[in-house]
Amino acid sequence: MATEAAEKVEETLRAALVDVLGLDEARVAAFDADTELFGAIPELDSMAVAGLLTEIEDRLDIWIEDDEFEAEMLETFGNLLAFAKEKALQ
Amino acid sequence: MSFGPDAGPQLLIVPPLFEELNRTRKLISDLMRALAASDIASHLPDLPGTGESETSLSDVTWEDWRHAVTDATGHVGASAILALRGGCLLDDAEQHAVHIRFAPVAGKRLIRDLLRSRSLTDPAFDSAAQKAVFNGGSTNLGGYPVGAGLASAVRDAEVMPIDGATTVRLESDHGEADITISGPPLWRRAEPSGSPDLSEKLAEIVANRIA
Repeated sequence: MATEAAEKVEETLRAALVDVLGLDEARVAAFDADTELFGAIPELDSMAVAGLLTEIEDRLDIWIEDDEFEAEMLETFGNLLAFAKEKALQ
Repeated sequence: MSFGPDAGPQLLIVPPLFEELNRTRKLISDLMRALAASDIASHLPDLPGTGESETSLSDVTWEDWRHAVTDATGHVGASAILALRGGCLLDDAEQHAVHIRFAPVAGKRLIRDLLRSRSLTDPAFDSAAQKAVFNGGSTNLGGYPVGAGLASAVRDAEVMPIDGATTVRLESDHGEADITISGPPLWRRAEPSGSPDLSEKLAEIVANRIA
């Protein structure tokens, strides 16, 4: 059950990256925990972050406070996924 | 901006608000062209303080925007309305046989997104500066000078129910909908882009409802 919910979070996160950043679906499907995001993917610049966070909030039905957001979160796909799981599955 | 024949159905488009309008401009113009190809005319008004309007946005009130929608409805002889995103906060004074809402959003979500966009890129935009958005002068949000009165009114605005309106949402959106379609939330993209598939689907829904 917990695993299924975690898989759902991951699937939702990948879909949000594809839709908000306009990335290729196959490319995002190949992201692993070490895939670098912010600074490595041109589409994810500082202007794009707000829209991405808001879309993740909406899709996972979570609320990210300003002080919860840290740049580290966006360093890798693994970091972002860990944060999203922590928020969505708590 | 208007497209399509003078005779036949006239659709008034109530646009998304603030930077979401810039991000959906391509979607809307593609949609208007697709509708014109089906002999449906559509009209996209500039809300006061936006586009070619000569008023300064910092002087604009929420009531100005609501009146502008009513005025535009009469001006173009609208037989149908399509409101998008934050436009669904402005469209409820009008009751039309064909009334479609695409991806309606509560005002507080819009304001939150605008505040976040600014706070993530501007360290000086701290919590005091964020509070001043609602009781100071005007604040630059998403490239627009937004007055405190307008910001407060948007924050408090809810989507009001309309009898017989058709609500359309993306599949990824959790809100209640009469019709769901697949496609990207273009209003979240910092780099404005279109989606031919999404504008076609919307045009089809509008054409079906008008027919």
